[in-house]
Amino acid sequence: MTAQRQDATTITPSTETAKPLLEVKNLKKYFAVKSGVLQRTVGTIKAVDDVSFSIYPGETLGLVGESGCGKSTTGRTIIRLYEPTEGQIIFDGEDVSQQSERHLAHFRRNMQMVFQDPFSSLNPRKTVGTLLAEPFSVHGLFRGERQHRVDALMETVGLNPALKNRYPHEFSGGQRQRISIARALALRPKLIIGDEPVSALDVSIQSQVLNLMADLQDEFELTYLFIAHDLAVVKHISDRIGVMYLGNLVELTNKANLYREPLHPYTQALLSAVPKSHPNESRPDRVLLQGEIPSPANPPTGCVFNTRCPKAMDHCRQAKPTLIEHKPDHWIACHLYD
Amino acid sequence: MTLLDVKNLCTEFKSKRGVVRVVDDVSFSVERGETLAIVGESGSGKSMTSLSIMGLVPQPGGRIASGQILLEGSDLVSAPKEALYQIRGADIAMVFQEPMTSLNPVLTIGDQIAEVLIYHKHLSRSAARLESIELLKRVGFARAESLYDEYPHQLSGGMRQRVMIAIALSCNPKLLIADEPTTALDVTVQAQILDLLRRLSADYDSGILLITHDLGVVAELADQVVVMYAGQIVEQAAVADLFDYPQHPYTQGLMASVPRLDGDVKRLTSIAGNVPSPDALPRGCRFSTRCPHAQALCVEQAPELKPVRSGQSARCFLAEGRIFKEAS
Repeated sequence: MTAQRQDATTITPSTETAKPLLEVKNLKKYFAVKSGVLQRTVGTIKAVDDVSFSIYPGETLGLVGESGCGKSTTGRTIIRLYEPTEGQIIFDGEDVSQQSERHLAHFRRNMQMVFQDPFSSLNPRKTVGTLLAEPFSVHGLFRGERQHRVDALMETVGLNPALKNRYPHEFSGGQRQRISIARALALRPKLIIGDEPVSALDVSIQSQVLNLMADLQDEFELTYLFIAHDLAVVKHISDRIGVMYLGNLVELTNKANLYREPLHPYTQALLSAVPKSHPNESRPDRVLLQGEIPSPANPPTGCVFNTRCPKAMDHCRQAKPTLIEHKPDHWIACHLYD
Repeated sequence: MTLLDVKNLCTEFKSKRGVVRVVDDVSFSVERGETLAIVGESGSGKSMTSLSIMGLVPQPGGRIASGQILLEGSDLVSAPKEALYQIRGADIAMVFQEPMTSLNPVLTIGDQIAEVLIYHKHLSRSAARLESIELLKRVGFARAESLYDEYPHQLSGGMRQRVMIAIALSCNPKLLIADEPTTALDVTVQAQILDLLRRLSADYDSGILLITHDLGVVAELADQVVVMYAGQIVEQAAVADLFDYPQHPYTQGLMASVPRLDGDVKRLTSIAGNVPSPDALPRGCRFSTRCPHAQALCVEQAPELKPVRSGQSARCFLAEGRIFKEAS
């Protein structure tokens, strides 16, 4: 496992010649704010505003940010749970952003999602065996050998197949998340999008699930888009990491760069706000951000972070910075580095 | 005099399958100006311990079966309800995890702070208003006057939690119980709230009982730490000792399970299995079903909480020196 994961870290957008598995180009997702009896549109929420990145085969790209930054919306728009407002989603060389629902079936076999809440993402009235066989019946696969496949899936994620006639409520949170992962894995997808897959779990269970995800990545050559708010978890599992703030990708680089030398003032603040790991550790450089994240319905003009940025300049209030490659494999959207 | 002294607290629930003891013989004390953290995962009994101290064990079904909770020497368990009304909010205040549900949505922010001041400090409405605004400023609101007339839904999660802290501080409590105060918050907002709690315990000389699952929050705020597992205290130590020399295999496992920003491991250590259900606890040590070092003695006998290092206790035969790690 070690060798493969290290390979993945060396994959970079600037030096890599391999084709990305997923390319997201200028993705936008706006939601209309409706009000009144007539449900007139009174505004737009720019949940995802012009985000671009690529994911290469076998790597894990982490997306971090605080609530409301658009990381989950990005994940859901990529898998077409939300219709993109603008932009392209190129999966395996094919633009899937405009495809009709009917043509999406094949694409969805190759891209699966694991959600945060293992309590609400599994139908409580179906047994685990039924839940795990569902992907096969939806796609009309493996008729006659589905039960055998379900057993194998349960074993793969470390659950006893003898429990397949039980219902989700009979399992603990960690076991339920294993069921969700098994279901995502059923159709042997190429890409799995995990939307906060471990944040509802206790820490001792969280590490079991993170280890499982790493093992499965090696065994099935999976590519992950891992969305989470916990910087330490994202650091652990990811090869490259994108930081989002208010619908924008503000920094994108490999994990060594991001944690050793964060460039964006928001990334710096975010990292310094993480609680220390030992009581005697001192944090002289801690940046306490003032105020709150502005509403995405009414984002600031210029750089979206300028209202809270300790280094904001006049220019930041006027012009929005674009994501540029400041150093090899280190992309940043900030006027300090223009 | 010790501010809070919890002695042999046992809290039980009646269920269909009989009586379940969710807090089992828990003892600890908190001094003024000190922060004691209770750490544990879901089902460890940490929240039920804090609810027992507040006299808020869910009814019907739940009750404090035995033990004492002494606030400056007077027992809260045997105190009549009316006396508790006077103590809660004035001497002991509580901040809960969910600032969405703990504020009343139909009252303004100001009314909810003023209510406490009028009830406990017998202030007039206008005096309460002035003091409420002062409190809002103290928890970091720049525009406290206009906030006074706003409603909870107009505020973000972090702002609501600061309002909760303002309410908790309104009567200058001797003890602040903070049950997962930052769990629902983003990391930059969490840093603001932890900073606020730290300054307030210094300014008011209050004791803080912090309930959390997050070892990072413990490292930030605590002086003393109690680790709970399946209703029992398994380890108790000063914060630096706990991080440097964790004695109980559960504490050790918990520390190793957390991914860290400093340092990079290929694989996380994890604790196998799940927390046992309170109505089906193992006969011997409650951690024996998941413990990497468990031996025959651990399965048969339940260890007691014993001093193992200076100022540090653990509930473990291994830490006690009664058994030794088997060569692997």
